[in-house]
Amino acid sequence: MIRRVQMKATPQANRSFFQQAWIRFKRHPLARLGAAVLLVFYLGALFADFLAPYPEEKSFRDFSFASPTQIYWRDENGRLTRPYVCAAERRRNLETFKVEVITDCEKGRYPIYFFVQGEPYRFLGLISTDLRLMGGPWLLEDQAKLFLWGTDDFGRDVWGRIWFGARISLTIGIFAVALALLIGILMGSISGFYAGRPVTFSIGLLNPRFWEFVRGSRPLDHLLALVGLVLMAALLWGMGQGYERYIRPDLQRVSTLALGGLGLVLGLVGLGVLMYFLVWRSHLARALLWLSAWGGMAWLLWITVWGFWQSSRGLEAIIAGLIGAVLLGAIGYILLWPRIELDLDTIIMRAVEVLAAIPDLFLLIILSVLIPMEVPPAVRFVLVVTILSFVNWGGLARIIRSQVLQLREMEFAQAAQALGAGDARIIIRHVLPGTYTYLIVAVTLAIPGFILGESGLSFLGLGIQEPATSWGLMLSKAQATGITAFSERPWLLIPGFFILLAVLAYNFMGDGLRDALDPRTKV
Amino acid sequence: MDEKRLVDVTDLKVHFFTDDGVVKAVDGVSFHIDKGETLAVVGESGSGKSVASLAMMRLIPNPPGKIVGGQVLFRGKDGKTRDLVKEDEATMRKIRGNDIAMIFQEPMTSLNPVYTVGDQIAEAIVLHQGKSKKEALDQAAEMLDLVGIPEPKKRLSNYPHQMSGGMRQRVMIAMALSCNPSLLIADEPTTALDVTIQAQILELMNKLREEIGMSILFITHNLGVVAEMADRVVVMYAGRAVEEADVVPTFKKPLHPYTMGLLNSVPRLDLAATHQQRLEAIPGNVPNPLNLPQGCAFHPRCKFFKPGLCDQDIPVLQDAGNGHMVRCVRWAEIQKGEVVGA
Amino acid sequence: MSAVVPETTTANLVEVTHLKKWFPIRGGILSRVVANVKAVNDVSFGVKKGEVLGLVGESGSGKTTVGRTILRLIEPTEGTISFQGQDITHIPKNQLRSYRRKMQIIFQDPFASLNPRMTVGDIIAEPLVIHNLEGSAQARNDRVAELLQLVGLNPDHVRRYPHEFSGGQRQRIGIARALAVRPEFIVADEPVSALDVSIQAQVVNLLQDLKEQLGLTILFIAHDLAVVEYISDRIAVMYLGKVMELAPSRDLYLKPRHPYTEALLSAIPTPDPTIKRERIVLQGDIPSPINPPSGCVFRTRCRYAIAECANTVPELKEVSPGHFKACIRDDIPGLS
Repeated sequence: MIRRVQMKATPQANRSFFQQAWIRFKRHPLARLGAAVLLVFYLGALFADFLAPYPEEKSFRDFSFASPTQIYWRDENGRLTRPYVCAAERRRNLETFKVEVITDCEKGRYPIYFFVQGEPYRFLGLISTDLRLMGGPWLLEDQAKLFLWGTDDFGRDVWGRIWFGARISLTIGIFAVALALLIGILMGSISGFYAGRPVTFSIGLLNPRFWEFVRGSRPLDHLLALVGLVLMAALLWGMGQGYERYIRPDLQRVSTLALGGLGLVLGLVGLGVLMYFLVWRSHLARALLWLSAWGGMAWLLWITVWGFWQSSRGLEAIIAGLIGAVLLGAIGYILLWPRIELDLDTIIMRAVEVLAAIPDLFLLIILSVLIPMEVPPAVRFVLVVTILSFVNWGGLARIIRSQVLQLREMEFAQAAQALGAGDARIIIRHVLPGTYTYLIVAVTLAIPGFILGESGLSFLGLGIQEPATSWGLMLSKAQATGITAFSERPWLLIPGFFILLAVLAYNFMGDGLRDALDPRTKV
Repeated sequence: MDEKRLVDVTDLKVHFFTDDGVVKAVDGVSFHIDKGETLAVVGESGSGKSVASLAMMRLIPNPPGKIVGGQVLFRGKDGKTRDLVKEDEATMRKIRGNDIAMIFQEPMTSLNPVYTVGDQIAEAIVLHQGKSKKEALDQAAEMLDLVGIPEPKKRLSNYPHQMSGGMRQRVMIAMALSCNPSLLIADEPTTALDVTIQAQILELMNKLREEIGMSILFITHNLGVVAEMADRVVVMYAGRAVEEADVVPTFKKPLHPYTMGLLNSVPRLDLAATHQQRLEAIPGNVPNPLNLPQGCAFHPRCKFFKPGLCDQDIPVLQDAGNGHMVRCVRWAEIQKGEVVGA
Repeated sequence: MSAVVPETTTANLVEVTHLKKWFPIRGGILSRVVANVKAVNDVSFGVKKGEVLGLVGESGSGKTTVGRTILRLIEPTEGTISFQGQDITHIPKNQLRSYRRKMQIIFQDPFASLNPRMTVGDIIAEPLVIHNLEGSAQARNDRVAELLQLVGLNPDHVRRYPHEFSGGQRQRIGIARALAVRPEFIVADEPVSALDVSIQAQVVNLLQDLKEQLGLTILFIAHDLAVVEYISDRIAVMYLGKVMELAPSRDLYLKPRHPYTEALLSAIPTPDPTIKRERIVLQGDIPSPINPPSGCVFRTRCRYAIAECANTVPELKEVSPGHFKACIRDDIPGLS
């Protein structure tokens, strides 16, 4: 007869969901590989200054399109020795009659040292240091150069710039996905939660309850609403001013006003609607909604007329005018009608569909044209991120909507409703947490798209600009030199392989995460 | 194997190898089914009753599951006795549907929504009997008629979603019986149905059993259904059979404390006039299959629990006379009424 | 003698009059309403303070819809719902919140009704947070521990997640959550249907104890007449969105007056192989609630149906004290 050994504790109870997910993830060899590759890439990007022998923007005009520097391991007697490079100079090859970088070991041997002092830099922009992985005192002065993977047209080290470029190429995806996720969560959860449940507003001027409300408000409410309105207006005006001054100084004032007005109306109505849902009994929210709608309408009316008057060249003014006219009708309707049924789901999903119907690249290019040429790299980075996420939030919104649609019907969501919880609480506490696992997967699988989007834009010269660098921009150098890049300067294609590797790695990791986090895959 | 025996299961063991440990879903279960007999296997969730029946069909998903021991002797329609645990996959495919048929709890998901019910019944007939599609459809119509579906010819071209739950379960039964199996495994066939529809299906199954003379392995948790359908009953708890007896002694003179508790905890309408106001519940919870209590798996919930006796060794299945098997070290005392529950 | 609302007295805590819930089915490109699922079609009853009213019916009878409509989790199409004499059919959302403190619900599925990402402590404390009860966090924790003890769980388990508990224990958590706000009225929507047989009895007993201890009024919804009979003082039998019979529970079992109740009772298998009763097997399926039969909705399956049944919608009328039925035939032997 068998004696059953008493187990100490219930293993299931002790292992959390994420521990189980980790076990499942570890079973996925490709996913592990992807994660490892990404880890290496991100560490490389973090320590780019350390890995690169030269500073990011250091260029050697004489060495443009130099092939990878030959590294020697054996001395003239054929014995193993510390790796070294030989003196190099740029001159015409008398056999092929091409200008080449010719190395000649007779003219000097330059040993490569590791963990050496190099050009000083600030690690993470904070810590001053000059420690670099490899190099020697000869790097900058002498005829010898250390270009592991050759140089580009300006004679800049491709190896180093791969890691500097990684900083942008690999982070732009994350920032863009974060922004897209934010928009996606907001839109997707509202869309899903209110699908088939039109939201009823009863704030119209023709609604007797509105006047009751206005009469019933305390003076403080009016004051607060006014302050909120002024603050919002100031903020948007400031944004418009900033846009005019720093981003498109070439635009006429009217365009700024039109855009500013559009932004003001959208922002205020958005804020009002948001507050209406979050703290729906708040007098402030209602007053803000009402005031912003009225104020915005007046502004728009003026801007539309003025914009058409002045816009012999301002495309934005026309667009703003058209949108304004549509909004005008909508706002007027909302303001007057006693009871409005808004099907938020339909509105948001149709918007997503319109966005999805326009080819991504086309949309990207159109929007990129709005970015002026002369902006600091940091601003350009932010703008590229914004454009990428604006084009791509629809997919995430749809995923979230489908999840929310499913979760809102779960009994625990109804239980919360029965307990008296409001919509915002149900969405935030009960519905959204259930989408985390799917979101992690969706986001991981979306990042490659953003990386490719950035590469594409930069490749076309519309994204990141010199002197900053990204993999897409580096790859465009290969394109710029034509088909010869493949035969004579293959090292210029290296950034392409990095894009490929990063995209594959993210996809593999996403696949593994999907298997690991899907609660249906039981251990 | 005895002439009248159809199935003889001995010491069947099915284990699931999970990351959290080995789940001994079925741990040494033995039972037999005679020709024309209905054997009910009763148990709660996690008792292993469904796994045991899937193991007989060799339908345990592997991995994580595996039949690790025991034998399932089965007398086929050809008269040959085979050990189903050892047969190859090709032979099993011939046996499934042809010799042993199965119906499931959820008639919605067991039918393919994209084919008509006629196609689905005919498929099995074409597959196992080698008839032409037309003959098969004719036979399918006969089968639908047999299970009491009105206008069977017309119904052949219906899709599953055009039928109600009860109708779909009838279609499932028609499909299962289309190849004239000698054993029908019914895994909770009425659990998803309403009581009035359940009554229809049970009536139908009893009628068909008499007409066709097949044996039924009826898996359920509903004791009322057991009383209605079964000739013999196996009560399972935590992967083991704890009691096996003819249906009347099972209900009238149960020997295992678990069977007793189960019977007492069911609300009984027929005792409505006399019942006391409280149900006698079995305390505690169904044990975690990864962490079964030592000794008798039921001992933490048992009112006859005796420390030092019940929590030591796993009790063996003993014969209490007349083929009444019980897995309890104290059955004799309980039978004589010498012990009183705590 | 037809009473519209059976026993309309002030003692009714909850009262439902002519309640209707039709779910529209939309079709076509313009999403017009092409048909209605008549889930609840003119139902009236009252729940007396301190009693357990059982609501029994098969799938599609509308029993769950009735329960959720009373709590205004589903908006009624027609009719009124009143609580403590107050009409709450149309009160706005913000006033409804205070009623949600007095009326609670226990769900059928103990797996789906608890948020898997919240700890047991958070789940039970949530209603306290929503309604701002108990003030401090410490007081809330104490109350959660008290509630866990009340439903027979270990108060040390507050930090655990629902998946660490068995079905019966989860149902206890669901009950503790419903009790957190000290409600007066509870809708128990099939609270034991998803549980194992041996656990069902525990939960039924627990509900019975809690009812005694806390003086709860319960609307107990189930499809299992045996369970309902056990716990309920009175039982309403529903079929296709209508109440067929309403009677004190023992009365209903011993002397059913409606043909449907009679068939339903006889369809329930008895866990006793020695009792062989004559069984009335209802033929056919439950008709679609989109297009229910005219007159009496049960007539298509009723063995006593006469031609008149197709024309007259039977009203719920009192046939003996406290015993109501909706059937035009008073002459059926054995049922009158």
